[in-house]
Amino acid sequence: MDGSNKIGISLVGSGNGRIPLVFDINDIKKLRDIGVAGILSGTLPSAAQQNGFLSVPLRLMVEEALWLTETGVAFFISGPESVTTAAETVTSSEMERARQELEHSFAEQRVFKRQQHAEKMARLGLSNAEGKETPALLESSLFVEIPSASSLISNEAKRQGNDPAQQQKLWHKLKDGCTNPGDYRVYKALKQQNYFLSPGARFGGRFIAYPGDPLRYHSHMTVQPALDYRRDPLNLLQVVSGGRLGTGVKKLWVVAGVRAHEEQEDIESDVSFFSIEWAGFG
Amino acid sequence: MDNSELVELVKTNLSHQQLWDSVRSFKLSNSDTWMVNGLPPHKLSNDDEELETEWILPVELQQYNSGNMTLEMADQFFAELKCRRIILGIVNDDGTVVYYFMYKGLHKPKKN
Amino acid sequence: MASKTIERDEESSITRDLLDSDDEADELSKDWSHIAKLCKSQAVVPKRGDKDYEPDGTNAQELLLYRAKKAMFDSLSDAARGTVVKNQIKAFYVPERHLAFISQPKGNFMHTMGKVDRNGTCWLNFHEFVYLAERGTITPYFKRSDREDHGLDPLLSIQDLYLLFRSSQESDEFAVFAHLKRLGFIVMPSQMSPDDHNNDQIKHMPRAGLTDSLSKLTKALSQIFQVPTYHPLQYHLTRYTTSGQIYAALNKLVPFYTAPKTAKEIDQERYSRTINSRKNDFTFDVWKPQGSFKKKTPGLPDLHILVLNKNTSDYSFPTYSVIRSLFQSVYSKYDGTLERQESAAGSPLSSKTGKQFSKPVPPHLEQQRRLKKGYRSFILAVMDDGLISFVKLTESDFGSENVWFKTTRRASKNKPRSDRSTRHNGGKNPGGEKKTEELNAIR
Repeated sequence: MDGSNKIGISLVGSGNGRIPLVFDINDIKKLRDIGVAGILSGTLPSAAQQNGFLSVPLRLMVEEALWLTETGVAFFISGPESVTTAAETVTSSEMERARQELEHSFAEQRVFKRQQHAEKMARLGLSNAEGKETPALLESSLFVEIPSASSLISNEAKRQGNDPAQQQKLWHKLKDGCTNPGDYRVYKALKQQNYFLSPGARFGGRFIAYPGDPLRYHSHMTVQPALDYRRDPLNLLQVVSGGRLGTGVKKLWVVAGVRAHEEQEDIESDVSFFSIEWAGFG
Repeated sequence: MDNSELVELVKTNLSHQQLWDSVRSFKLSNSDTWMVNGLPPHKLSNDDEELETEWILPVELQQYNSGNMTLEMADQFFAELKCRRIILGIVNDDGTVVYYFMYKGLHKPKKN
Repeated sequence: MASKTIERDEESSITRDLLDSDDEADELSKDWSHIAKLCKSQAVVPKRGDKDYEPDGTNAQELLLYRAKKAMFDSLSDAARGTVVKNQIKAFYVPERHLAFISQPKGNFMHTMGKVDRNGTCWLNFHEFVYLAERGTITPYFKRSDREDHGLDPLLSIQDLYLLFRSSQESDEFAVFAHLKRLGFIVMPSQMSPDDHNNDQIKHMPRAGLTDSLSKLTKALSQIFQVPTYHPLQYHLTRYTTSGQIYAALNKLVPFYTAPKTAKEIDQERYSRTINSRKNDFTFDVWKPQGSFKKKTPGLPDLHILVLNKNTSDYSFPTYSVIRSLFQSVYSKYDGTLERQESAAGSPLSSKTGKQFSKPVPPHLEQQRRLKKGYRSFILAVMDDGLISFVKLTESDFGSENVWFKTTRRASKNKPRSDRSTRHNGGKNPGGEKKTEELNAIR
């Protein structure tokens, strides 16, 4: 999308609470290869009446978006203004180019459809002329695609990607929008150990951790919202309820203590994990 | 973390209800925290290689008070005991005790 | 094809799998996205196979993962969004109004979406606009403010549409909207003003509201006069000869909130609430899928939904008073009345007619049902970074129920209804007052 190979993360909304989304399927593939699965959340047009399998956009957790941009894999694209401005200033030559692209796609489709038709006729043992499709029928069956990724804002996206000050600003805004800032450090610590992470509310946690791609591997842990290593007590009522739930769904109940930030930036020793499960008696 | 009042209850529960052997209690150094250890009647987890002495930390569950055990303290217990897991012996207000494994670090669930 | 490879037993011979993978590697060099556009494919949805415990570094596992991913990405890129020329419906987004219009409205979606104005132009709200574009029903364009014609109105991509959301809350609400729409529900922005839901009953509301508040006042007063039951002297003055009397006294001792139970009581409460405060409104009103739905006269909704994002810094779970106020604004189809609950637990739609055929249910079971099912309810849709949890909150009323011991056979058998009717009338009915006392004594 932009000149570099960075993945574009669109931040939806304004102010602090923003939703990170990815629209390019190739970007989604790249993310998956580096252990970020995300949640597909758009209607799958070929099966539009179900929620089990969804399509682009891919929604990321805020922690994921922070990590991807911090590590330089991705950059942010923001704001309704980028779309409205670009749309209001579209030139007639740009419109003409879009029209030509559509025409080009139509031409390809015509060739393909005629060929398909001819093959079908041949299979049925009919001469091509006999079952000739009327041009009108052919024209009305041409497909107009609604693209996932924007070409309208591609220039603006490039500009934003090359504006470090704005990228920084967006990064901090996004971080400030989190309920529990310590969760980001827990996320990073788990990421360093190559876990795939997904949102965890379904199992009563902040994250669910998978040892590999969730497509193929069962998750191992329900990770709780970060605790302050020195100050926050371990909530035993949650240990009891969470531990039993975890036993039922074969996941360990993981608590993470995050040390106050003054000390060190070293992630390895930054977060202490403990895994809890029912002992099987009592 | 003063848990001295819970020690007898947990010891009794382990010996007489859970049928553990050699149940003993002792105080951790530089702390007012008590630990219980003992030998369970059988392997506690299929993933365990052999029967071994387990360490139990008696703690009290209160409905509206999440207690006072921080993760820093948990780290200190592990440091002194040098074991791979401790068992939280969680005492409820009706005198029953429930037991939970607590492993240091990230641990995998049982395979079966 | 893609789905078959996933469905196949993992233990199938590895050599054969490897051969297959060679075939697929050849095909990979082709550009699938082109073909996808041409043959807008039938649903190719990969099936979830059995998963493994953890990666073990074997080729067999790598292969399975490769296929799972391939099946997924194939079905994503095969399913291009859009429409054939014949069915194309263009919708134009107007940024100033944050709405989109369709000049020549047609299509089935018109039954449940959009609003047609005086000029015959159909206006879609932003949720409807994005939802319909995402499934290819409409083609989204941007209406430029500086031009009359559509000559320079650019086609919008899905990315553009999402970036046009005005807040993250609006986008979260869209996710819930689309989730429900895909399941066939009819979803509208919640209309808290009862005026929109007309009918005569509500026109009489002002008076009903007044009498209601009066009756509440008397109720409150009578509760104040009950206060002396707290006094220790009470226990010297009263002689308890049966356990029933003890329970009855306890019942008076513990204050409780009485949930409104009949449709009428609920309407009255809502009215008194709408004049007081209208802060906490629902996000959506939802109707179950139905062919006869009319946008102009939708009737009472089946569900109310409130959308919350649990991961934002300004999130807080609704407090008790917020939840109370939300209950007060519930006006969805109500099937919690006692009459209805007596009918067999069938579908809520049939219960209206099924009433007279149902068998009588023993009172204690009926009570259990009341406690379990509760009265007014609404649904929280909790957004967790793209995963939605639907949680139903129902108002229950344990205080009004005698759950401690069985009522004496005589009371429950002779007049199974009087028990309830007196409770509902409260102290309003002078004839009923005595009965209430009797029953309290029994309790």
